[in-house]
Amino acid sequence: MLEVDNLALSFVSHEGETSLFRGVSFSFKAGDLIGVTGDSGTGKTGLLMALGGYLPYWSPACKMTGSISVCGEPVTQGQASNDTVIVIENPYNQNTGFKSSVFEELLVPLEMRGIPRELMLASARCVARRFGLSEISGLQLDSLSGGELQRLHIASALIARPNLLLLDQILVELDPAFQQRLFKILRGFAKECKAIALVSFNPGEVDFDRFDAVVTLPGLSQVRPEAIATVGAAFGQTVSRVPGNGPVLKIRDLYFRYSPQRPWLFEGLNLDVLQGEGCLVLGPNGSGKSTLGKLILGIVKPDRGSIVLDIGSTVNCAFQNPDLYFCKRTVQEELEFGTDKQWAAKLADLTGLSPYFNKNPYDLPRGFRKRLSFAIAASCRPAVLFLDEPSQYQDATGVAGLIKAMRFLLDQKTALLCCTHDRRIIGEFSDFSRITLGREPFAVPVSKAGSAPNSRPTHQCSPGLYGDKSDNCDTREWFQKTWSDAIDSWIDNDTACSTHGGNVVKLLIEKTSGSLSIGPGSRVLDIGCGDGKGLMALRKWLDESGLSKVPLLGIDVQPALIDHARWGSIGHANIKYEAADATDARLLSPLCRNALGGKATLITCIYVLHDEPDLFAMLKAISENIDENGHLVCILVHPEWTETLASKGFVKIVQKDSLNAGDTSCGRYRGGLTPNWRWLGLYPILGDHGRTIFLPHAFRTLGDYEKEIVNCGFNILSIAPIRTAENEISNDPTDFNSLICAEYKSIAYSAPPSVLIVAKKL
Amino acid sequence: MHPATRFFIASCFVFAALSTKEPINYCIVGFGILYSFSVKSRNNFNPTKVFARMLVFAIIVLFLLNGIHFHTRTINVKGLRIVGDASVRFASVFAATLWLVKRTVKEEFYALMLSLKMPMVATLVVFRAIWFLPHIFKRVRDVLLAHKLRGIKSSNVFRRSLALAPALYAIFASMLLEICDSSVALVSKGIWIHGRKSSFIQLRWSYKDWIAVGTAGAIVILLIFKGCNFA
Amino acid sequence: MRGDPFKISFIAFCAALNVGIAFLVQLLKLPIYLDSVGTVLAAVLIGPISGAVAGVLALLIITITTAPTAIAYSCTAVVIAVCSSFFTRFKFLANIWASIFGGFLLGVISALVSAPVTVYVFHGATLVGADMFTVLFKATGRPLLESAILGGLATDPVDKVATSLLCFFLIKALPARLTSHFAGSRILSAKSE
Repeated sequence: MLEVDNLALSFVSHEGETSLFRGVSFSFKAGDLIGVTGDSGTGKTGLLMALGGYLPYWSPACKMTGSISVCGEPVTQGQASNDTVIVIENPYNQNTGFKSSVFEELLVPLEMRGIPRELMLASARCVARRFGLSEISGLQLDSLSGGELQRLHIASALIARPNLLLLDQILVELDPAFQQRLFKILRGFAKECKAIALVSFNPGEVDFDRFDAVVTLPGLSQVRPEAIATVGAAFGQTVSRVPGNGPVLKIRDLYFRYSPQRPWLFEGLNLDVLQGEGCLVLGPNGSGKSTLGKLILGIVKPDRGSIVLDIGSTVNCAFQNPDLYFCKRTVQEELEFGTDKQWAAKLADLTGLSPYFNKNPYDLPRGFRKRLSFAIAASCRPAVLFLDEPSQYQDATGVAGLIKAMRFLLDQKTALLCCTHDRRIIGEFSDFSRITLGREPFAVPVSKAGSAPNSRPTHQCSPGLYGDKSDNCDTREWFQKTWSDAIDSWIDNDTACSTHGGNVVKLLIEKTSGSLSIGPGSRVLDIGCGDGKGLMALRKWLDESGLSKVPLLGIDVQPALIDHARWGSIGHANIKYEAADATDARLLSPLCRNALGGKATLITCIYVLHDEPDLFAMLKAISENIDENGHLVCILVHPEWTETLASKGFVKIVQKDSLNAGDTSCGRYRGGLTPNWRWLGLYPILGDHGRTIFLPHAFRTLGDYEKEIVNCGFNILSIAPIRTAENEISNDPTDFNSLICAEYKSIAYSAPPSVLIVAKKL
Repeated sequence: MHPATRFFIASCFVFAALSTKEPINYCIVGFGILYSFSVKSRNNFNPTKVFARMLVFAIIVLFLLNGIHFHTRTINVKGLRIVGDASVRFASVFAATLWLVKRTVKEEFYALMLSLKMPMVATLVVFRAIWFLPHIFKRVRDVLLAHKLRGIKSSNVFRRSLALAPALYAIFASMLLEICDSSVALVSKGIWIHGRKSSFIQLRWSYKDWIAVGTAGAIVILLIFKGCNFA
Repeated sequence: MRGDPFKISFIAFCAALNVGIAFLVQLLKLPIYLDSVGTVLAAVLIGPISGAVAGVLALLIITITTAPTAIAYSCTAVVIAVCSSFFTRFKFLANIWASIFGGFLLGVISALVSAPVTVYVFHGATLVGADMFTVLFKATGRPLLESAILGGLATDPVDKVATSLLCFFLIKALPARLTSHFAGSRILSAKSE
């Protein structure tokens, strides 16, 4: 699916041509999770940009030779495919700027693809929950931390369901617990959506065994991650140093939060930093690591408490963004600014910048810029140096240099406060004192090479923070899976069965196999076929029943959702697919009419998230064209009132134990009863009513449509009570707009209302 | 309320303030100023204070320019009318803009652009500029801080002027690098995808809009027929 | 429909830069306003239309953030963009003396263009320019239009010379990685020669 042949990238400027890499060839099939690694300046980013066709946007000076093809189609630079999505390493400049709230920004890729908002909601909520964004989805974008923003961008990349997902050095921003989760999600995503996910990372940042394959760009130095520890240990002979006399930095009873709406970041933090002491500041994303630096520098003021710096000592900070510092034309001028030549040369030597003395700082690769900013911060000999993610963008050599420089500074009696997620750093500085921020217990990541005493192994991620909530999700959450249910099975890899759409069809097949009269002359339709899993299940069932000649037709109005490329990959001769090129669900009914032509046998699965008029128009179209022995089974699902129906006695919720053995094939979710189980119990009882239409209280304005329904040839079985005081907001579908607005404010998003109708024409 | 309605009302307000005669226009503008300054902002951007300062500054300047005979040091009565007239112009525009800025959310504005079928390029330029603004402010602060930390002094005007060029260079070059990245991100988010785009916020034209537009329109028509400054 | 997102972002950035530099100057407490660095940069590096868009957009931003009357000066922004783009034919921003002279010319032109707007639309107050100078000239007994023009002439040339000098240095120090984005512009081809 992804084929790269003899790819070479070079960078052309008026000074000449610099080659990044050449002769890179590989080929991967759909479903692979690939790692890309290489030293600073070997072109990891360039490779990813080239794969996506983004080169001219990234840097027009980049020249590419060789060929790349995705899904058999060659990638043209400058014409990025809609099915390719990239997430870059800086989370702050990936916002589109169209939106100000987190949830809306998440939806942008869907909006651009013209997906109707009801579907957006269903999928976005699910993804938001998976990525730990639910709690922050109502906040303003500018109040998020870097890690939270990065999670948002990865989530919005996945939501677009690309064929090729490119993640460029995203790991630096993410805490280890989430990294672990992300790999699980990515693996499932690649498998389920038949996509390829490429993650570029710095050598040593993550284990190779997380990936199906790792592309190592040429030029990777021989310094393996294991070797770093030895380099460091050899240099750090003076480990038994005695810290200076008193604390240089005293923090007493610190309270801080950004706004009264957000929880306290620090509640009574006390901290003493001794002269020449090294501290590691650890904690998950958004726990206030960078904020601590801002507080120490005095950029933000604490709400309560004091931060006292020893008289006469200075504090400096190497910010996360290296580009803020540079104001000179060459690296040498930068380093020698405000300090003596000897010290500058020493720092340059330690960080490995000496060969680049005459370059413009902005022309260096990111990893070198970061090292340069570290050297600049250290150049004015501060008493306390705050380092924000110093190992960001660093390869093995870079980390080794950094460690050397840090040890050197410690020997010069500089206290270091180093916030990091990087296990290479944490493993190396096991002698440092540790400050762990955040409410949740935080697992210290351990490198295989380094040893961190008293720390738990990595796989124990903090409970509650990203704990898998799918085990006990309620009916409301289940609904969120209707469109993006795939994500659930991405995570639960052991769930072998198909996703929800398939489940419903399977169930229908099982439950109706006795009474359906599908013969050689019938045609079968799946209206609202979505991603086609139901169609596949139906086809299989028809084939197994000896009805392989019966044509099967899928209809939907969302070509963006079910692009033709993916349909081609199903490649069954007897499945046809038709889609209206519009986002309007209303078009379903004329499509049905066209498709049906004359008489047809129908099995339809409809998840109706549409307005009622569409629904009835559709039902009418179907009922007019159905043949005498035809069956119509519409399933319009709303999980909210499964309970309500049960309490009215219409439905029996079947517990897991009482299900038949055959039913269990439909979904092996871990942890017992999931909403799917409940739903499974629903059908047998409703199905018995035959020629009935089941209308729950979600239809408030039923009066207007009652006649129409009857005209369609359905009996109305029941109309459940319209609304009660407590479900005033959440169960009223006609007031959808205000519903969303109300919820929008309260951050919590509930399922959009919809209905369950089971009807059968005799 | 539909953002287009708001825009219409604001334009009608300005028209009414500019077209009416002496005592009435002061009333209209006074009411508009009071209302727009006191109304609650729907987004986290609230320029009330800046607007108030600018308005006071404008009135002072106008007074100094037109309201005083400098050589005789007396008040120019004829000029005061000009001051009043110009102040009304300023104040009505200020009030209308402030109200619009406070009551329109970015998402609504985007949805409006979308429903007006603006080309993506135009939408993008406008929203990018709005997005860049706080970004640049933040960057200015960060760069100045970083430069201060590395020892670029800013004690007197001369030193500060010397600090301007490196700060500006750092802002310019670092932001340009980010623009490269962000343009990749934008393409990746799908800005160039052809076809209809959908919007999460859906603008509805409700009965409230009809009432508001009807009232505002009626007032304008009334003013035109009654004979206003422009007629 | 498709365009180069870099250029679009750059135009938007230049617009924001116009406002952002005003903020920087304010933080550094300097006595100039430098509100058209972005306009000149966009006009010179991409083209006059882009420069005009950036200038007008910056005024639009000022309109909704600080002074709603700023939008009336769009014509000045357009003139600055067109002129500075035209001046590049005469080594404007490629040569330091040409830059200083060009900046001076730009200042004179922009003062002349904005004065009528100031006088006839706002009776003398600009809110974004040299109000106090206008008051000073008015106090010496000159008519309003003349004082507005003189007030503009007293500040604009100095400001525009500073603007063009800054632009000159910015373009000169532009890192090699980025120059390739502005491949078509006259200035950078002059620089590389």
